[in-house]
Amino acid sequence: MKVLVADDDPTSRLLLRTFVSKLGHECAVCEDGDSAWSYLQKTPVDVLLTDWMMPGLDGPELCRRLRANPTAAYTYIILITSLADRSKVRAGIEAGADDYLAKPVDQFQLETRLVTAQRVTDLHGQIKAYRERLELANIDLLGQARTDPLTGLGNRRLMERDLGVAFTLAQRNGTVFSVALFDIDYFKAYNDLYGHPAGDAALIKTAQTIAGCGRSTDTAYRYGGEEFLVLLPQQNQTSALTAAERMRRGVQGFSLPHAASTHGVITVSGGVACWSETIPSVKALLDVTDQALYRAKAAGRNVVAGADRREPTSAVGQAAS
Amino acid sequence: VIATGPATVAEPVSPQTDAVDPERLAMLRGLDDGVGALLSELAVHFFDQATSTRIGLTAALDARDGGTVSRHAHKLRGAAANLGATGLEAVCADLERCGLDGRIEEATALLGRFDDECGRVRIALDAQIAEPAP
Repeated sequence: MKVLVADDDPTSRLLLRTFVSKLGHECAVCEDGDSAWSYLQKTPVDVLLTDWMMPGLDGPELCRRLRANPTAAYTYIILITSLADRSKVRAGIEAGADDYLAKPVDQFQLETRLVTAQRVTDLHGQIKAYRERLELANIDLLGQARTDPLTGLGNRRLMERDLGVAFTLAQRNGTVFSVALFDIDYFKAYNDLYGHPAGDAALIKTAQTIAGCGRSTDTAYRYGGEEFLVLLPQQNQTSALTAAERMRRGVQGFSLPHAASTHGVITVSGGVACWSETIPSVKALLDVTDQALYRAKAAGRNVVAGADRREPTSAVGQAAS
Repeated sequence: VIATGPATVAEPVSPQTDAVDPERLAMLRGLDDGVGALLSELAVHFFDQATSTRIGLTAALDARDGGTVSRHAHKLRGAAANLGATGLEAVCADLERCGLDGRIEEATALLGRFDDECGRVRIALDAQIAEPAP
């Protein structure tokens, strides 16, 4: 272990350094609390042996400063004090010391304290390592909890959270946003014809295409089954329709054969809706988006429809094939 | 707990009592396998400290500054304990208490014992240092 001795008494420094070295540990010495604190800020140590009364920073203040630094590795602190100072021992322990030794210190007492110090610092090291691993695992779990495992898109839980945030911001600041809902056309027939593994591959490819056709600020989610939702922040219905149409064309463009579809390849139908003050909730917004998607399906599939019938429906039918 | 009542100074140490605890001395000699270099170095540090403590005590007593008397005595008490100088340690403890209690006259009266013990410790340590390694 690395041990630091902080004591303004030269005989104590010399004796403690001799004891520590003879016990096989590395030892550094400081003549007062201030120099000990400077040393500790640059060089972490396993054990600090500190006198109570020193010029400048005294022992208890040194303990407090060391304990107030939560990022440092744990330093086991042993307060060196006179037998007559036992009333101070409790204050020293409360300031952060782990143990104390009465003067005159002998080698055997120090040896037993250092055995304990080794055990405690090892335990703290293990706890620190466990905690770091746990934090990494939590980050990983958090990611898993918000990701659809098949497509890698955000899952429905993440979608609901993000929609809630967007809706709140829109209500508070009037920041407009839109959503686009897509459904793979004739997907059940695709699964029946090509099998579920092929169906999964089609879902992955479609998800990647929809996500890849959006802006960097857009987020795609797997809404459920063969349905995908895209959140388009700061986009009105017109620009959202343009984006959704780009996504639809992207899916059609990868030309995955679908013999059971009237279009011959995998395609999607899309519904688009934009937030407005008249829409009271996320659920209401999703309802109007779903209605738009229904109209796209009714229009022959492989098209995008807007929720507001007064909007230009240029996308509707335009891309039908 | 430090006593705060009337004078509680210890009885003068008998000249027949060892100035330095033999067991402690043996332990200190054993730290460098009996060579004695460590003991010599400790003695040099100790007497430097004792000299500066004596000067500090005189000045503090003249100034009737009990707190400073107590701090000087406390520091040397620890060093005396390290060397096993039990008689000097006791005098320092008495000086420390007197200083804390503001009993300046009693503290001044202890300086004679302080000097005597320092002299006895010097003789004992010099004899040990001069002694050849076993």
